[in-house]
Amino acid sequence: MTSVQIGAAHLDVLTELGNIGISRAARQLSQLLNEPILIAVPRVELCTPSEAARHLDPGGGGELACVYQRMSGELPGHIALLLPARDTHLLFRDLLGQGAPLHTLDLRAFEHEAMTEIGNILISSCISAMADMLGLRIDVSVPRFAEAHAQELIQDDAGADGERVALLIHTHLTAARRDLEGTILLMLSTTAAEKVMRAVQALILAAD
Amino acid sequence: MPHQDPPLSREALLEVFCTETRERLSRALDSLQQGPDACDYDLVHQEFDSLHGGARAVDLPWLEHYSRVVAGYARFLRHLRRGGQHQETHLLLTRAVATLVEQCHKTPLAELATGMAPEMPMDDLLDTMQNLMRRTDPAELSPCAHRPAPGPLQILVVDDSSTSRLLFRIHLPPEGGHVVYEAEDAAGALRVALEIRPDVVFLDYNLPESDGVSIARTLRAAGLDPCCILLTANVQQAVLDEARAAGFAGVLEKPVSRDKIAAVLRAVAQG
Repeated sequence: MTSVQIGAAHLDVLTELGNIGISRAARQLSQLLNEPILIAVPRVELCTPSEAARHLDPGGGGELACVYQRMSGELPGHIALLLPARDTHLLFRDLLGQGAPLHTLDLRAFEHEAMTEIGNILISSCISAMADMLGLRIDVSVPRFAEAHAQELIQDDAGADGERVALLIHTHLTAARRDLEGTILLMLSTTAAEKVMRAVQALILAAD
Repeated sequence: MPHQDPPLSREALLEVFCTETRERLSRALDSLQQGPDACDYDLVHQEFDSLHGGARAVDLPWLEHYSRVVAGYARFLRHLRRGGQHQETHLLLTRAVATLVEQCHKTPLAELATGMAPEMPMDDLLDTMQNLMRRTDPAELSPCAHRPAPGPLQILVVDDSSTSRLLFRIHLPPEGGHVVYEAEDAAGALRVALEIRPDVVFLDYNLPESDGVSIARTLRAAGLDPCCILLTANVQQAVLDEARAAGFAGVLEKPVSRDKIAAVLRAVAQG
């Protein structure tokens, strides 16, 4: 359990924020793949980094592909897009199907580069929607790509559980050629998480 | 014999001119008093441009000189970014025009037409404004001050992601015959830009050790005047505001598509 507690109304607002952010990201992915993408209403969780690692990989065996960016501005921390690694290979293959002149390139290296850019687009779309809704300015650094198990990714990124809060936005994307399970992870300091909650509270009050 | 009106006397011309001038000054001051964000600088420029021609016709050299400076200054302000200096210079211009209006109420223009320039702190204001124009960093001028000439464009895409640059090339509409150059960082952008003098530069917002806004300023400080377009998926309002304040002519949202690029290039061509 995290040191930042939220009520049902706050969770509802966070879910809607996640929904808007993921929807904008899905629209961008749809343009990249040139096919419609359906998204399920996301599931939002606020938890400790250790709990986040367990949620992301309950079996403990699957490798994840992760694009992550450092956040600065009014909400310092990290944001990451996490997908099962096998799905990113297929996603990349879908992208190649558009006839890009890639046959002379080192495909493996290019896959990481391409996934980094795709991740950057999806994260930026999502974070910009959330920033506007919350009325916060959030800057993101250049993206980095990694493939590892959830525990390793989170350990690399997070400090002690008491100092950090993980905000997970899970969703299920349905495309014509395949389905994708994706998660946006925001790793925040306790102070930053409390700032999110204050912005959420302001939204609730504004709506009343 | 066709009837011909006798030519207007200078007194009659002055009377018409004075009425017009009061109206022009009033419209310009009204617009200026709406503040730097809402002011219609085109209108202020037009009013003083017309005033300049009229002052010459009725032989009021001091007003002719003053109007020319204010008209130029209004056009200049239109291209200034909306930053701190823009506000400061806007206030100066407003004060100068308000002073003129006040003096015209105290001493009618027709009386001033006897040849004596009015006694007002005009010279100080003019000096201050002209100094400001000289001091202003050219990097703060809008990159779109000059519309690219019609025809194929020299386009520079600055993005550290080779995927992003490749997607731009794939989606660039072929019909314009535009030529695309690439750079992946600030140093490369400056080197290529100095070599090709691009018409349009698409700048990624997030770059290692730099950002698109800083690179745009560097290009302009180097004497280049391309039309700069921000290339980003981060379209949160704060980023769009920053780009606008930095003089970017537009934003191309990632992922790029043929339609999006074509729309931006059309907007660039239309100025």
